[in-house]
Amino acid sequence: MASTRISENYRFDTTIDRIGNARTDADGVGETASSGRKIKKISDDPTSTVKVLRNRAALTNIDQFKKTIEFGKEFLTRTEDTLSSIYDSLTRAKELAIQQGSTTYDQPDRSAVAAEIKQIMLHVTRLGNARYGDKYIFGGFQTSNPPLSPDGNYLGDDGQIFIQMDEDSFRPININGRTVFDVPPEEENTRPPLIAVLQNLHDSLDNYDKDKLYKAMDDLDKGMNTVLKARTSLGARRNAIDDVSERLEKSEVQLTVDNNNLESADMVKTALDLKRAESALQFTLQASSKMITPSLLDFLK
Amino acid sequence: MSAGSLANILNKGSESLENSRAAIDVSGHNISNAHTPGYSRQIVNLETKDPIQYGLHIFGQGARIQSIARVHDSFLESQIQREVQVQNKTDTLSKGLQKLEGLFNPDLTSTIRDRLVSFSNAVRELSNSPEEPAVRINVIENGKALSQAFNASYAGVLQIQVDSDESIHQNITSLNEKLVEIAQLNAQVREMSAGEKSGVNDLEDKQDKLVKEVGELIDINVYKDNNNQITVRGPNESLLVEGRLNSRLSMENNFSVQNRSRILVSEFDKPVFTDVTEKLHKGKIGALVELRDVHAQRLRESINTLAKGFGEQFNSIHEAGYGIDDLANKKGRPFFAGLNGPGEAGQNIAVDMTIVANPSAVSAAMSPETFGDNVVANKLVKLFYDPCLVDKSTTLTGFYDKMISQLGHDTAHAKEEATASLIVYDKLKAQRESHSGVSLDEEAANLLKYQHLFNASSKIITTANEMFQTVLDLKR
Repeated sequence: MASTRISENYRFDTTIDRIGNARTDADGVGETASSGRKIKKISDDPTSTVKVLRNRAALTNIDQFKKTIEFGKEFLTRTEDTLSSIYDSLTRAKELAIQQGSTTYDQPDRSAVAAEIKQIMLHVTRLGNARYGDKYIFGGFQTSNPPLSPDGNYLGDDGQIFIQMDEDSFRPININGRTVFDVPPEEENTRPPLIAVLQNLHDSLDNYDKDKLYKAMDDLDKGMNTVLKARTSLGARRNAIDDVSERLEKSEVQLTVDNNNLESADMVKTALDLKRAESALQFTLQASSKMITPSLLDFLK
Repeated sequence: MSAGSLANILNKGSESLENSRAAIDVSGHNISNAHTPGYSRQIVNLETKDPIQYGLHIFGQGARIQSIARVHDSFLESQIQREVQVQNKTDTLSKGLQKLEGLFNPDLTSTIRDRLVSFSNAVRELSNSPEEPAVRINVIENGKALSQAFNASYAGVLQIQVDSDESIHQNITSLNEKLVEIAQLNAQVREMSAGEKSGVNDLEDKQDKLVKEVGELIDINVYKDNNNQITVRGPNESLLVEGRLNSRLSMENNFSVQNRSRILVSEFDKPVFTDVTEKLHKGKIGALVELRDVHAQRLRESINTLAKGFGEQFNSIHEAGYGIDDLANKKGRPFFAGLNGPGEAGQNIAVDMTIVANPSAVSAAMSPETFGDNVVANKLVKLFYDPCLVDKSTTLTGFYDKMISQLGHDTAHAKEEATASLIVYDKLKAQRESHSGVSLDEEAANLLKYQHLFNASSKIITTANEMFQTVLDLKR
């Protein structure tokens, strides 16, 4: 069989092609090495690119969910603290009332106690109008106006504020102020609203009326009960939020690891590839410089 | 022995001298064209002349040049003609797709996808604090940024369509010039080769080269008849060149958003035009048409679908909501404008001017006069991850992901095809060069060979001359 005929163009073209191939190769590896990533264009790996983009978006979202959770937790804490203060104040009112229930006190004493109850009443009203940031926490959706009127009427609505703490998890953060400060449905017509109960307590002491006092004390118990229930429900919510928060931390780590695996080039392999590509290019160039010059003409003298 | 045969020797010598001169001439031609693209080396075919009988013996009559032929493999040539169309198509398409792909590069942080995510988080903040003006301004700014991302991607894709169109224009101009040249060359070949079999080598090379150049641009089939006349058939079997006649390609209208200009072929000089836009599959023009009408167009439509689908659904939720402050009692405001033409959604989507003018117009509340109500905001949040597009089968980001992964796969596929086709094409070119290319070693050897022949031939003449002298001296 005849050997391949090597013409000038063949020799030059194939040499240039070879150098071109070696350069393209070296360039690709160089790019991977300098960027440290294997996915630089969508077409490098469309499926992984989409995964990377999804993970990146999920990470951005997690940042937002964390912010939201932080906000939700603080809102809950503020509500909890406020409810605790209310409960403490009510406990104090009850203690005072129990003392006054016995007959050992006279009217001036009772009037003094009544004055203290009045103070407690004002305090609880103020607590009912507590805010977190610019939000009134007990007003339902009516967050921009005080939910309790000066005489203790509930002006808020039944709005439940849900915020998103995870992809599929909207959670309520507010306590319905109506259950605390107004009469809950199951006690409808059996007692007045909370502030009115304190008012009755005050009135029954200021102008001593034993029956009215006992009724007010009884109502106060019920009111305290609803406050306690509301506070307890917050504890459960806080735990649930903590769960979500923990889950987010875990998936954040997982997503970051995933993306590293998908995007990052194996540095050891890349370094070796780079070395190999470099020497391949050098050899090609060296060989080419030797190959391309001589022809028979150079030896005809 | 007669004087006639002496003259015969002289004749043989001079003919041989002429032959070697011609051979060196051809070698010189070869050497000077060693690097001319498309050149096929030529060789001198010598043959023995028919012998003549003198008396009892038959004498050879020396050698003559039978032909000067180009070394050419027509099978290889037609393979190259076919492959050059594929190679240019895949190469151009791959480069064009890489440009398109660049618009959606995962390293960019201003893509529709990133901006969708940022916008969704701005809406989440709105849900947390609907009563805060700063949060509302943030929603508006992120809405603007998202709109701009839509506009920018749309503009990028449109620009590639415009550029492709412009490029088709230029390629058609140069294609038409080449068609004219081929037709002229046909005429030239016909004149020069009237009766002759050889002698048009260089013109044939030129024909081959031009045909290849046409194949770089467009789908063709090439036929050559016995008179070396080339017939070129284009897309849809249209006649591009026949004999000394050529057709012209032209583009109808200019490219615009509404109109993708069509590509027409005339029938020679007749004012009859055939639309071949759909029939173009190869060459640079085929690739550019595919880029413009399939890939870029599909992306543009996807961007529009996404912008319109998202904008409209966002609006319909937003319109049910109430704002705050002076707009706490009013609903029915769209958030995005520019979705319903004129023009396309991707190009025109923007945050509605009423919203931009007044952050209180951002609507988060389901009921009037409730500043803390975030029910509508939460519904808006859900829009970002509920399946809401294409008959509620895919999410917004899912749609985007599908769009770019399709683009990525197309690009990767085109790159592979371009690489494969380049390998085949390079191989064929190398084979052609190996077969038809000039080798300087060979030409150097030929020069030596024919120089020796030239010397020897002149020796025949001087010898014959001396013999004549001797014969003439006899008579004295």
